[in-house]
Amino acid sequence: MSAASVVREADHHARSFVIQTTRRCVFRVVVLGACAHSVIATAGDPSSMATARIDDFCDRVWREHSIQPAAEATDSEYARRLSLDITGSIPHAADMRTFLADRSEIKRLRFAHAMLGGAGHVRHQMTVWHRLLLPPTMTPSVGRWHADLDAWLADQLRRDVPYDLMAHELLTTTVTISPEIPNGRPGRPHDPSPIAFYRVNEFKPENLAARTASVLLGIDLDCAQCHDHPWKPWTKDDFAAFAAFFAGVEPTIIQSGQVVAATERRDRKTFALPNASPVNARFLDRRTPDWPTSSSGRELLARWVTDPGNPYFARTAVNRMWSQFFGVPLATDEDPTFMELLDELAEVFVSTGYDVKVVIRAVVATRAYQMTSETTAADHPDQERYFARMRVRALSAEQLEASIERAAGLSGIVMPVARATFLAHFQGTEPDAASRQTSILQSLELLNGTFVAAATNEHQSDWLKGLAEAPWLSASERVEHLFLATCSRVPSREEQMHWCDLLESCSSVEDAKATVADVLWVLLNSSEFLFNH
Amino acid sequence: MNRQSRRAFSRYSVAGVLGVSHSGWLRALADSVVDPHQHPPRRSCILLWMHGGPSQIDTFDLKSGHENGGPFREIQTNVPGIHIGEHLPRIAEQMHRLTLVRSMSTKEGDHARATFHIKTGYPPQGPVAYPPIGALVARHLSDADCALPGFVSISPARGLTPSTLGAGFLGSRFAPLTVGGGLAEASDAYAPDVPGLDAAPGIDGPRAQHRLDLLLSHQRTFLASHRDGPHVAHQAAVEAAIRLMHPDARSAFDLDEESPSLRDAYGRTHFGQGCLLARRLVERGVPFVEVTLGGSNDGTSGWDTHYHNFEAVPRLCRVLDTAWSTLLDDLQSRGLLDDTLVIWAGEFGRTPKINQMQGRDHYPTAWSTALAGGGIHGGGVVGRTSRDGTAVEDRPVSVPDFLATVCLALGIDPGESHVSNVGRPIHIVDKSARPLTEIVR
Repeated sequence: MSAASVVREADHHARSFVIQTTRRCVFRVVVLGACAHSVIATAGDPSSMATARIDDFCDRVWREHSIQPAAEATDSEYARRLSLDITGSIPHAADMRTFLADRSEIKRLRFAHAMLGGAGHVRHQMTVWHRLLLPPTMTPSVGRWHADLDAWLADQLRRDVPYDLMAHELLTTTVTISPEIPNGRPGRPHDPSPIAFYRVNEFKPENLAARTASVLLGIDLDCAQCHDHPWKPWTKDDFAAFAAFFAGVEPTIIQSGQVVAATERRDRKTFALPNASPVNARFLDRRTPDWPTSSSGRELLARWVTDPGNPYFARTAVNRMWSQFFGVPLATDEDPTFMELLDELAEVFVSTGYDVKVVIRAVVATRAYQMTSETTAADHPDQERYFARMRVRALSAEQLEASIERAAGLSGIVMPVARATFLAHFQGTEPDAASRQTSILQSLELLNGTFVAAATNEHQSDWLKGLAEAPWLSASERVEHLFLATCSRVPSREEQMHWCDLLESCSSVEDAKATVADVLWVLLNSSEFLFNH
Repeated sequence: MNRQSRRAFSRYSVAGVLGVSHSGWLRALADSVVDPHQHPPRRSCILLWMHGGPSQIDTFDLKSGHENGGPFREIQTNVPGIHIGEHLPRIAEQMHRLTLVRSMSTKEGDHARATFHIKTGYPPQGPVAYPPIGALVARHLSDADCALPGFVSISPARGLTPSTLGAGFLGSRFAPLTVGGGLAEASDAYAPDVPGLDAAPGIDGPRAQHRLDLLLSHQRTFLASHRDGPHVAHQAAVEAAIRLMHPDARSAFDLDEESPSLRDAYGRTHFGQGCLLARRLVERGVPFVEVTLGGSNDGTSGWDTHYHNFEAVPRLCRVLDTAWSTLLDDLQSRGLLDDTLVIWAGEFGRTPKINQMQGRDHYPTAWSTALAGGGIHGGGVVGRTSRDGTAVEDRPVSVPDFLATVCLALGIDPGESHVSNVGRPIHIVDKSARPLTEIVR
């Protein structure tokens, strides 16, 4: 990058940096501009530069389509959204109070960075990876393998292992397992390993190939198993050639449909689909590998997948990360408006050593991510499509459960059966958070189910009892606390009047406690609570 | 909800109206519940789902002369020339209402894959979230005013891939309401129930109504400021759930309204009572009800008889024969049979060759299903298998062929398509289907 372009970037970023923070004293623009300029020019922080690039690109797209970008999100909207996207739960009421009272210009970025370093983020990423590798549709009876996989994911994520190395280990982990050594690591039988990925795919090359292509390359090969893909370039031969890299994986003992022992044959380099002849191993770009005898198919594949030149690997990762924050990928073949930007971000990702946090820090500081989700009459029909307004997104089962737990102060109560029932209701199959739809049973679970009932029971919940009974709290303070705990915001004046009237018109202490519980129940069942906006 | 009831509804949803009786604003919603006697149902469908893959050679396609035939005898039915297994005597007396399809021939031998295939008509792979036939029928034949959902699944087999219990790309609005079931054997008092219809213990009627009032009023601000998104469908689901909670709607699930002798006639089993509930739901305008036999309840191991086939099949047939024949009689006596298609099917059949554990294994190459009721000529057989039962000799029927037939019987065009989750339009049934038009009325 030339010096001139760095300066241009920094200048723009300084401007957008200020816009992102509270719109206060104008004179700060000049001072901050100068500081930011020098900071960025010398430090070259890849996240900030990427943020600037994203803002620039979006701006151009908006102007091209004559779209007026939505207003900035309030602190409450932003903090709640960020917390859900980074840690998988709404923020604590106490943290919200602190954040709202904070007057610093950079409080949003500081909030984001603090969350990225926490345990909540690791847990949330684990859930995301887990669903990716063991999708709900594919797991009839995987029971204990969930825990295996979680252990490996936790280890990788806590150590901030770069994305490419995680992918590499996933693809090359030993598959030589036996009943005595179920993770394939003799001498360390309790060490975590990603072998669950192989188990859930029944150690079958065709399954492993399809899942690998989908998860790591964003390529859907499934149709090509049976016929040449109707509108994409993949043929049956391409599929078979790709599956051949896994052809060495060989189950040796199968009991009751489960593989309990397996081995790897490094000499196997071909794969045949049913009723077809064997095809030699070949990468998806149709190059044949140089195959040293010491290598296994999977090792060769892993090197090809994680090669910086592989056009799919980094792009897919960036698209997925973008999805985590916007509900939809940045660019796809069907909608390539932001494809150039995706490529640029993929390059950034690769150049920083596949550091996921660099991309996340860049994304959460963008103007697009900080927009409100409120609709206005003047909105363009493609407002959301071009990221000029934040989408309302459904929460995952885990996010819902964690958020209810946090909002209602439930950590002390165990309730494993109620939780499991609750989670089972919401662990659906539609992966797209922007299009997931609630069913009647899910709705009944929220309205009448045991988990929410326990959370809103003024006799059972210590937290609720405390809130309802504390003599030093006024009605309006109780209402404010309930809103902060659930919706991460303070109630409006109308809301305060409405709910305080309700509380104050109670004829007895018992009645008042019940009403506090009712308010909590209403808030937990509100769309504002149940959705990420 | 029509516009009329929406206005009345909002009148009642002003917060703080304590003391209004339980039926207060819920009455407004109830106005939108269809009185089944005023709105005659379009065709409905009851799928009797035989989880695990029922053995065709021991039920509908006996091979008594051959060593594959096993110990069971054939019996005559009330249609000359058609014989079925001795363990379905009452169904044998109703053969004039049934058409047997003895030439089902498919390729999926895995439970989850085969179930997905027959329920959706498509193979279980790829990015498209194909909807099951129940969701498709709900989509096409539901009455928008009906407080009951369009697709109900009674005592489904748990632990199967969730996708067979959802609605695929049609969206959760057409996902099945799952009812009843459970692992223990049914007691005499057993009735399938909908979990979550009652407010939590400790919340009495007025308080429950009060909370709902407050909630619906509170929602207005957010819905007004956020016009688009998944929360809109959520609001619809909440309203549908509330309508289902209304006494008139939920009474559909109250089997105590039926005479004890009728409940006995169906059999006091999960499946038997499930069939009775299916009749009640169809009577009230639900277009698709699935009742599962063999889903780890009723104390049996289901139809997946790899071991001890010849002990399990008679037990299952007893439950099936009782419930199925009573269902057909009951539908007929209420004038519903002509408009209700009753399907009997599992995901595949079982091996003609008996294995070493006196069992039969999975066999998709040649198996049987049966159709009765609305839209179908009864008293016939489609197709024929070889003497040893291993191959189809005449008129092989694929899953698309079968589902296309079901669609025609229900008055749905199988060639219609819907936009899928990947943007591509998908036909209800694959275009290659050759429906059994000869049996459709």
